[in-house]
Amino acid sequence: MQQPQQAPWIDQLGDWNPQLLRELRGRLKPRSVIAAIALSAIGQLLLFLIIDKLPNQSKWLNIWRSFTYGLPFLLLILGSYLIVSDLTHEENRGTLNFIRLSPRPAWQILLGKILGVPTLLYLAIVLAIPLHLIAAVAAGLPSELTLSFYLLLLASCILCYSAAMLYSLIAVPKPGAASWQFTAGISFVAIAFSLGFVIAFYFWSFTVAWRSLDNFPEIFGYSLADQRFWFYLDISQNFWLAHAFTLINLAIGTALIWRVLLRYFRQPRSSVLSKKQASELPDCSLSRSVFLGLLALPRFGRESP
Amino acid sequence: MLSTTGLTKQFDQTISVNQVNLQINAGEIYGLIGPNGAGKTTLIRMLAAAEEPTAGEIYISGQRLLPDQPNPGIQRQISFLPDDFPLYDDLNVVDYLDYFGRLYYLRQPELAQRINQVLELVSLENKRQSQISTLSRGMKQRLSLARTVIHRPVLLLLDEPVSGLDPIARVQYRETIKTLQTEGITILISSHILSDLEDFCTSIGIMELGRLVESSQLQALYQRDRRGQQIIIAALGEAAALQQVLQTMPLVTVCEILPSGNQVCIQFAGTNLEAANLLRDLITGGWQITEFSPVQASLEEIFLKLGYQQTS
Repeated sequence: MQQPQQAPWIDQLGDWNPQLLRELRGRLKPRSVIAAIALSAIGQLLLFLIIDKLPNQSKWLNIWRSFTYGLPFLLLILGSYLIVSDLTHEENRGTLNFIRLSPRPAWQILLGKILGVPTLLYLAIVLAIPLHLIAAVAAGLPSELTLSFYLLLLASCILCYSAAMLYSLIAVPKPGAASWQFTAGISFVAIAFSLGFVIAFYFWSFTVAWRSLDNFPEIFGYSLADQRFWFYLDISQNFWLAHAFTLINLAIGTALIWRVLLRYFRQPRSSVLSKKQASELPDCSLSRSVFLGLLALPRFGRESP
Repeated sequence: MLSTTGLTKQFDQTISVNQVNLQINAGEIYGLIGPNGAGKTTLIRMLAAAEEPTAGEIYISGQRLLPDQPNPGIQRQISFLPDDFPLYDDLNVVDYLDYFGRLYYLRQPELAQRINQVLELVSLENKRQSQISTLSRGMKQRLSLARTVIHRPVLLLLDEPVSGLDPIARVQYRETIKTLQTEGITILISSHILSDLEDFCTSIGIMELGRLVESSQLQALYQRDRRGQQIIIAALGEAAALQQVLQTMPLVTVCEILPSGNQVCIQFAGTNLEAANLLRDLITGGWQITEFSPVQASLEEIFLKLGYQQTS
């Protein structure tokens, strides 16, 4: 019997990253896709109807604000939960071992997980983006703010999902060892961790990344008096400097996690850090810049240089 | 094809595999037997690179399997099927095989051809679009085997692949393994069902308490055991008279009449040639022999004897 022909792009996708294709095939079932589309549409409709009925409010600005506050919650918390849950399940079942034993590099497998596991969530979010963009334009918001939001959200998702993967690999001791209570415990910690990350995302975005916007008080409904300094440099004063600083730090954090992740994925029974990594960590200039930067912020955050 | 030197695995205070020196030639089906807890699964997992050895070295096709490092070249040559054969219930049969084929860098159109071949091999052609969750246990086990061979490995490591299968499914599984051998795949298989191993294995290794206490060609094992073989003899006339004659024969150590009353069972310490001479002597002595049946000890009997002897 011949296999039905499939679209060439599916083959190309599968050749590039079999893990991603596997996740898409496992998740993009008609019923699940319809449910994701319906949930997204109903959510948007309800939001639109509720805000439309509020008196004396700028409708489009409120729609934009609702999305801006809501999307990180959904993406970071639900996405992290889905990744932790998937990896815990695979590790428990023993299927992750088969993937480990394949000759594909670990980065391909892990990237496939990040891109593929929250597929239905991505679908629901992508369907909400047009309304978010329309609201931004209708409310007359600067385009760089919307661009910044999605850029920071994307970089945060990559960091948060990478951390979630590492956490789930470390937390599950060995195949078959975990009960549902154990899995639930792991998921609860992951949700708590990502909730903290979402709060940090808002705090950072408001106080550093978007603080220099001229119409910040009108957009968000309140004003910020404080400045944010890093090594006596007022990073919140310049929109592009704040973003460069934020993205570099997120990239460094992600790179450090991936260094550990790539090794630990292949050798789950080894220590989390190799001897080399453990000895490099306190010494390397990369980590020094991150940690000194983070330590310097709260110290000098609320005073002038 | 596969060799190990001093392979050892220690978990905390327990030595699970102890100084195993294994040698398997290309094209062999090597049966690994031993009681529960003998270290078979740990040994197989180390050979599959799923477990890191505490000490010792593993060579596959002359290349050393390096611990603590990715071995993509060797990993393409090996395939491992654990005893619990986990599967993805959310995929259908074809998508599952497609996924594993791609993990091993198979591309179209070869991938589609190979999927058809392995489905035919395990007789699941009619289930290609079925959801894995709907398959029976035997089908799932066969699908797992199809997954392990999709990338044409040169070494197949099977840990208890027929456990839990009904007799018909076991026969089908045996035939599949024989077919794989004809394709030139070297197979290491562990099983508690020794009659199955007897049917297709070319060599046998016996593990006890983490040690490989016996490793040899199956025929050599039988030959060695045959030095103390039993022969059942029947002739026209009185069995008691035949017993008296046999007791005088050289190399006959024990001789007794079986409950049937017309058969005599002897314990014979000679070779096959000497057994043939015994038959000739009986016929030339005027006995009309109606049965002369050397009783071949089963692998199970040899295992019980050898395993016990070596450990003790």
